[in-house]
Amino acid sequence: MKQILSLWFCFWPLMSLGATDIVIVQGLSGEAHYATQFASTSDALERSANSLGVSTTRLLRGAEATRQNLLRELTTRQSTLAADDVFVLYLIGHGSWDDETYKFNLAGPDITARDLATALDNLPAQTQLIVNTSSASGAMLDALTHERRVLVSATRSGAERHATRFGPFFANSLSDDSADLNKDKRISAAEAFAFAERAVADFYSSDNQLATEHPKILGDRASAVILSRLDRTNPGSEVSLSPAVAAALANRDAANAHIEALKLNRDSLAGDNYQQQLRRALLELALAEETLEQAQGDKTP
Amino acid sequence: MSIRPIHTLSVVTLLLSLALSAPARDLPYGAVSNALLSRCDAEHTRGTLAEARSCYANLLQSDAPLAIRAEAAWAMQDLKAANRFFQDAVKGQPDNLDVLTRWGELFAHSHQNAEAMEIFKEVLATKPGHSFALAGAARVLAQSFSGETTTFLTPLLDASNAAPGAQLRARLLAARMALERADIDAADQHLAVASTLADTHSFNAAHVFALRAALDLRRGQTSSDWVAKALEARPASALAYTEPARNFVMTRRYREAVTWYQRAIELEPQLASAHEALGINLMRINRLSEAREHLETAYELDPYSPITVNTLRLLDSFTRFDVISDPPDAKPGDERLPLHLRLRKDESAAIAPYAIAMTRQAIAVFEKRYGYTLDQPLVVEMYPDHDDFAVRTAGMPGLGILGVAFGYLVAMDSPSGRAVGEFQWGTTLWHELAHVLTLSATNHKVPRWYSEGLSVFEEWQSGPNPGIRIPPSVFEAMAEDKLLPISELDGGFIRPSYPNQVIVSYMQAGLICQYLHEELGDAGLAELLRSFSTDISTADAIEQLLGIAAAEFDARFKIWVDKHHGRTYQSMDAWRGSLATMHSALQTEDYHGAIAAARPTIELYPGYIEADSAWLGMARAERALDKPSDALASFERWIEHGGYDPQGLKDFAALHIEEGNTDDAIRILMRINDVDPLDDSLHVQLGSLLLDADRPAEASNELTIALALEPHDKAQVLYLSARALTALGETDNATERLFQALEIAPNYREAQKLLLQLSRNNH
Repeated sequence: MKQILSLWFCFWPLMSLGATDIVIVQGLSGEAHYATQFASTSDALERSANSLGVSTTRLLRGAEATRQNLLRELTTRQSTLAADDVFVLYLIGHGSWDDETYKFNLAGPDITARDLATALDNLPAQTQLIVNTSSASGAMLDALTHERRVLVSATRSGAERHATRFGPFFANSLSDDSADLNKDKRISAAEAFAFAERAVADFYSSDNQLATEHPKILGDRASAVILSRLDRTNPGSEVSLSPAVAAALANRDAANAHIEALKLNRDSLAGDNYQQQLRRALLELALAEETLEQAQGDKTP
Repeated sequence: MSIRPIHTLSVVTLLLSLALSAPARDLPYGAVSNALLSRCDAEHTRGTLAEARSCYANLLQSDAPLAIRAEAAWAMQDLKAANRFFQDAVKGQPDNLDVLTRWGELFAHSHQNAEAMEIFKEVLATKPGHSFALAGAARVLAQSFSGETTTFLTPLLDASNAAPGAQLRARLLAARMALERADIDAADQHLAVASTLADTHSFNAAHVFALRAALDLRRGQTSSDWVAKALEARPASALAYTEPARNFVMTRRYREAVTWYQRAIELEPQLASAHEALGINLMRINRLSEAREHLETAYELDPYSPITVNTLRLLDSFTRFDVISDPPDAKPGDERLPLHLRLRKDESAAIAPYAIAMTRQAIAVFEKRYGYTLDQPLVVEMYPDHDDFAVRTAGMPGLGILGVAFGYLVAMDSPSGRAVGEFQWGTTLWHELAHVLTLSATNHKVPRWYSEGLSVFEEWQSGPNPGIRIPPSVFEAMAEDKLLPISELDGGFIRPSYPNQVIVSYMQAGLICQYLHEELGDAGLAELLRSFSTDISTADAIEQLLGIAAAEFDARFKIWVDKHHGRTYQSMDAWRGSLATMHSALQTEDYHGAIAAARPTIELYPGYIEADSAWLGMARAERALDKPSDALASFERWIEHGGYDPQGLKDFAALHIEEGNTDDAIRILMRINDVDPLDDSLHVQLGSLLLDADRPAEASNELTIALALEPHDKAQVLYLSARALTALGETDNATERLFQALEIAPNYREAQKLLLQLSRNNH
């Protein structure tokens, strides 16, 4: 008997989350080199979003990137998103802060942090990630902070008003193996932020410049939000699995679940006990992975 | 000319920082004229302190002029009251420049040199030749070794119509400065004039005698009758001890300085400045707990001395440092020289292996060349915060140097103390370690120029990044004929007379050693060093070594400099022009043009190896033109000349990797450790390359250091480390690393595979 499974969803999820819906907004650039930078950043984010396979992606740029269109996109999602879905909003461009109001610069009227907060609060998705790579983006943090939201800003406050380097680094991380710290072939928001934060610091220090941006992340679910896949083998495709492969997948997922459970309960286990159990579980996972590889290697439908 | 009135501006500052127990007031030497005050000062000078105190107290309660009561309060160390009296006195007599000048002296006395200078300059703007304002300004500037000191001092030395007391003070200061630059004859002459002035005008001569004692000791005497004479002239003053002590500090003989400062505080236990100096010099010989005691005493007596406060804070910060010993259980008397590194905890694991290896290597090279064996435990301290290093060295932040050797204690900036590429920590350590040997071999008597010269010579000759590197500013000085005669070269280090003179003096000293080495080899350098273990002047030592007078040596050295560097220093404009042409060509991607401009640039000044050098420009152009062999050759020549820019080295290594030359890439990347050992990605790359080159032991070292630096991708580094350990047969350690990697990244396939392999091999 054949089992029909989505290969992607079989891969061990850190949290049980639904579909991912991604909106990318490429704001006004001003100078030509910013136009190039913003476009390549947006393109890279879109490619990464596509690597997730099952996600919905919408890119607003040029004349489409207006306050009205963005709010319309968000309003539409009030009815299309489910509570267990993940919603991701990327803001790529320039921002401003007048000591009272943060604005992301768009064609026509700018959109404020307050506008965004109102629209995002109305979304049913219980996991939201907002990545704002603009100058002064730290100024949006107060208005957008919410328990179900992960916030990433290129600057720590509105006072950091210079154009930022953070965006391209964040986008590049989504296709860079070295950003994959837990080696699960996927890049989470936490991993992308760690990569980009370090790259920004390295940039200013190697250039011997005073750092004019200090990226910030708020929210405790950043590891759960997956933004790209590094192994691009048929993402999201449904394939036929032999019983052996299906069994091996189940074993691997069980081993992963066991490890995750151990880590969550670490405080309740005595030091040695935790380490012993963890090591046993890690070995089991390694064996399960080996079995899976062997099963996949000689799979016969 | 408008003068900013400062009488009221500085009052608040002074009140905030005045101490009740500041150091004793100096004798005014005629700057104040009042019979009652003179009587009190005479009691103080005689050492009848109770009578003096009573005398000052009575004066303070009297209806004497405000400025005189200010002096009485100052003498009783009530500086707040002294300030109030001076403030009122200046208000009442705004045109009295003498009173204003004394107020300036009070500011200087309470560590507020900037405010004091403002007052002195205001007085001098009104009356340009005001003798005591000139003397006050000169003293303040001399404290910071400013080249501007002579601007204020020279008029007093030249003018016989200046106030005799100011002339005396000028001579005392000039004698001190002459001692600093080892100009014994000049010091002697100044003190002779000072003696005459004191005799003629009946000034107390204790300070003259104290400096005469220092002069005797500087001449190599082990004791001096002048100490007793100074004590006889002022029985309660520690000047007889502090001046000789100061001289020992200037000649870097810190152990002797400590002994003399200890005598000073025995005589004057309340002398905060002596406790401070004693504490700082105890730190220089690594007696930290005793140092703290004296610094705390200094703080109790004078809590506003920035030097005391900064140094105590530095001592407090030592809890954040590791002390790493090699051998680990090192103790005095070990056959192998005990080495102790004081490194901040977050850097120690990364720096210690390199620093220990480099120190051992340097010691071996120096001991062999100079035929001298170090015999005391060696301490090396590295400070990530440059200001901490500056406080360690001078008690104050803002110092422009990179390292210092106090004998068997070296303090320097850590690799993270400056921006990457700004300095080579390995070369700095090498330089300072050469000082350790030259100081020890001569009981600290080596003149500054020879000690610095040998350190620079060793950097060029045997250091981790060899090559003669002379900055453009030094060639410009050569073109302007600014090199000093060898017998005056110490002055170029201690009291520079133009902005770049210190670096010019370093390079000149290095070149002199290079010249001597070409003429006489290692043996000549060693012989000259040995000669300095006696109290011999530079001129005599040169004559003894070469049989020629110092002036003849200068002439021969000039011929040698012209032969080796004449073309460069005579062509600086042409060099700058062709370098600029090369950069313009690179900017417009005219790579053939860049190479054409780089060639003459290199020919004129091959030793210029900075990040914008023609060597690197040429290599980049050759790379762009797809001529990897040419680019590799240019990079190699750049390194031969001492190139060290980390980005240049990375580009060089990358090209070797592209060309499949793994061993060469490793060789080049390892050089970056001498510049930027805290770059974790470099250690990971090196570890990985070394693994590929089947050099697991070295790979394991690099990866262990990478782990200590908390690398970004820790799981990957743990896995690579496990591979290296596996290759070394350390399977238990390898397994441990793999579990650590998998705890971070449970699905790390390569780590899983190796774990299973090791697990099966074990069973």
